[in-house]
Amino acid sequence: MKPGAKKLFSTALALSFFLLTLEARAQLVPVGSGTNLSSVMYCDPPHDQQVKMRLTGAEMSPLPNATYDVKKLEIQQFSASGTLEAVARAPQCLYAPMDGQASSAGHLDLTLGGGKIHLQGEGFLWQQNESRLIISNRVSTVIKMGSWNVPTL
Amino acid sequence: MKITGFLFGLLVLANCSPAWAQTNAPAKKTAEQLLLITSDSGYYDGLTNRMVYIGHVFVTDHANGKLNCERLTVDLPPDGEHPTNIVAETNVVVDILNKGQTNHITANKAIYAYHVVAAVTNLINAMTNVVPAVTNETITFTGGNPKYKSPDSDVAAEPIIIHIAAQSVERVEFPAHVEMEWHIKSSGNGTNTSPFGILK
Repeated sequence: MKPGAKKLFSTALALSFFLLTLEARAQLVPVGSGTNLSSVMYCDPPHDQQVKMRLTGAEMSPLPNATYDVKKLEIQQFSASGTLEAVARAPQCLYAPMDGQASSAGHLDLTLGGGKIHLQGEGFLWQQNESRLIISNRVSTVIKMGSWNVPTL
Repeated sequence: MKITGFLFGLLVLANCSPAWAQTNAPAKKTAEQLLLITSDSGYYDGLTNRMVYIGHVFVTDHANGKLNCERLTVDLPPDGEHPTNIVAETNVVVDILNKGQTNHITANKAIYAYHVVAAVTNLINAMTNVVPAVTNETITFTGGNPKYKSPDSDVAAEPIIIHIAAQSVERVEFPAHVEMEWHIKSSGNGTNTSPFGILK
């Protein structure tokens, strides 16, 4: 097998493994190292076909106590109608799937309001079940003051 | 329909005269303005779509106004709609720079509310059957003996309500418990004339 094909095969194998672990639509409990981490939560009925939250990471490696070192973390949250409400990004974090938590002492970017609100901070704890993102230090937000949609009657 | 500017009327207020009987000025078309919020910490609640800033909260647009408080809560409606409710709590201090003068508002709590209501009119677009709508924006200062200080006067009232229309202060309302103190300046000609021309 050629090196390129071998790499492609390995990546596909790792991706397939993670997809299998996600099949139950429950909390992700990955095993081993890999790339293209992805975990999905769905909305409660009657919107149970709609993705509520998606967690992705470019790379992950196992650590003690069932935690993982995740690179390029991205968490997306959607409304019941499918609108992207929030996107959180961090270059690195610790992910504990059994606890449904991701945390880091490092930098965090959070985008809200359809891109109108951009927030940054240092150090965070994301609680998956509570859909809560706690930013520990030096929170800074820039709000674009224009272009808000006016609610209709 | 789009609007520009919302948060606590900082920018809104900054484009206005501080007096409490104003007429609405047409909205100016300017480059997009950015509002900066900093705090010690905070959290985003994805269930309620609410952002909360905690500790040494500071809000500014770098040019026209600033707000300090200890806790700021911003409710974000879905689908990128205009925020309807923003609450500043504990030691709320607002400074608004207007025409080179600073107007100062203090209170224990300030609530910004934004609603779209049906216009009181009989006009309905016959083609689309759309009911005309108007926005209702207010900032209500309560608690901690709210005070409104301008270069001309100091006013204490509970509450102090600022009504906003078309990105301008429509009026400032002091509905109850009003105490007002005028700042009378000397005319500089050696006579102590009163602003009312009564006392000599």
